[in-house]
Amino acid sequence: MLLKVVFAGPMGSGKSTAIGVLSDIEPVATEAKNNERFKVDKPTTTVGLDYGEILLGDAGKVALYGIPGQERFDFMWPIVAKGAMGVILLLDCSQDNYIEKLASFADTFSKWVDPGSFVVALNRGTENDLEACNLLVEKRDVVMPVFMADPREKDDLNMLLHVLISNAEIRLLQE
Amino acid sequence: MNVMNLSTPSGLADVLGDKVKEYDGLQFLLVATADGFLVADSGQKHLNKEWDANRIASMAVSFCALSHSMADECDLGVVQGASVQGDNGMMLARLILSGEAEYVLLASFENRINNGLANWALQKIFESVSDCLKK
Amino acid sequence: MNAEPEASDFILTTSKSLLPSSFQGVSVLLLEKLSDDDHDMVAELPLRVFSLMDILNKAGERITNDLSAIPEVSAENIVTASEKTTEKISFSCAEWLSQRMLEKVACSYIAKDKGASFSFDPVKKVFRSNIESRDELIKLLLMHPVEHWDIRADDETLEAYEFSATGLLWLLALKESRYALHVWGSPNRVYRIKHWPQLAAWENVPALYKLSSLYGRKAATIDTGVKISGLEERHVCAFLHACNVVGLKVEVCDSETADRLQPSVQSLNILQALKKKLGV
Repeated sequence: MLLKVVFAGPMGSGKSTAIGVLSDIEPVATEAKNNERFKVDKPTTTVGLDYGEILLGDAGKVALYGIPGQERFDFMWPIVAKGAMGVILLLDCSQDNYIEKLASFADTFSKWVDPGSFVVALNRGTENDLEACNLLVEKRDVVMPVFMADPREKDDLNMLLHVLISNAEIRLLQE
Repeated sequence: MNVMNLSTPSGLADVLGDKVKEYDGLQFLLVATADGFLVADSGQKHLNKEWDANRIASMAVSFCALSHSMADECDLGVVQGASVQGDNGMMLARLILSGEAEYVLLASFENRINNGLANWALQKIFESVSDCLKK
Repeated sequence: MNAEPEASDFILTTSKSLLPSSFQGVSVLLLEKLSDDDHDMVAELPLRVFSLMDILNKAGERITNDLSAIPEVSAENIVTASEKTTEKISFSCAEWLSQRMLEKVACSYIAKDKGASFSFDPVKKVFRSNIESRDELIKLLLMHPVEHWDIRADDETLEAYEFSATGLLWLLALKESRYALHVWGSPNRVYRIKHWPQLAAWENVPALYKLSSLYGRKAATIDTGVKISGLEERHVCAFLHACNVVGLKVEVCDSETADRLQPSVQSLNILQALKKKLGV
């Protein structure tokens, strides 16, 4: 059996890094030279998708997908999100517009996954950032888990997956 | 959708427009940066629905990147391009390396144009576009 | 249908009509619709295997209750032995402190015996104390009533150790399970949380993830929380109490949506395998 988890978020939020940390296989990447270094200073950016796997032996595997974060690649998002058990939205709070990004990604991805299967992970955030995100989520009248997490830290990522598992277990009871 | 202002190599749009006129059955041409920004396009007349060159440019780049990963996974060696075949025609994408910059050239042909002719036309266009990008 | 276990520990009888009051054992009334009639248990038709298993489990629990031998649910990481003896049923220290925090007035307290002291900074959202261990401080707070703490006149910051206010309030509230049961333990009330707790930072217990998922996804009773998490009723109440204390906004709703009780085994298997891999 295959479970699918999608990592979403703007460019430079750590999607490829997170998949690299979690994956048991060498991740598949579709990187190209980044022409927007004035926005996020990194040499390359994902233009197709990232792919990794958590291998679970006889039970199956978890496929990890990363989307390209720029809006010009939004045509890839529904393709990648289809059938996902959950979406982990990574946001870098040091980026100016991360709150707007949360709103926009939540709007877009809620078309394909329900809010409970959507986990928000704030990198480089403070308690105030957390509160701001919780307020925004509350205004939209959904309950969306929001956490502080560093995409380089396996424990943080495991915790996010744990939240998705709990949600999936509860969802299975409701379907 | 694409907000970045890229400096378009002078004359590239004209080159693309001329090529569309020159080759029979060629519907449109566009050039995009490897990270999905439109550099120039020929415009198109055949599509009834609204045509968003920016969006097609990003799609062409993702398509090429995925083709590259697939080829890598299946040990196909260096990828030069990829193709899409539909009932109404065919699209060919070609990677262009110009100095340190990478581009994607996309060409769309009517269905009456066979694979050989389309690839031959694409090779000629590729040479002209490469020359233009080097200037 | 009449089910008698081999050892004749109890008799479970399912019937389409009420049994006489002289009947000894547990009776299950089979109904097309649920009613409020006073009888032991009811089951909606059609009665499926998993519903029957649930009824058997419930019946087993009730018989065990009758024998006054209630097994403790394993949740030692939530409740400590000292809590059982020290916790007050009518007062919540966590609520008291949370209220002081909301008033946004920094304050310092010292114990009557002049040993322990603590202060809180509502702006930075931290507690400071001369006690090094957060668990020790929580234990002290649980042990003593408000009157035990004098407001300290000097505003010097003597406390050397600093703890996150929300984290401390969360843990404190989780340990006030008797109070929580008293306040939250209404069988008919249906609850929902508006925000997820920061479990990784506060208290990383798997059962709390399940409770967060449940009450975050839907409005549910305490009983549903017990079934989903495997925790005791008072610990489920303590979870809601803790959510309330740290401002996660617990709503009381009108009704609970129905769930099926058994998801597909295949789906569960892969989730279990993933949990094992993650070390949960």
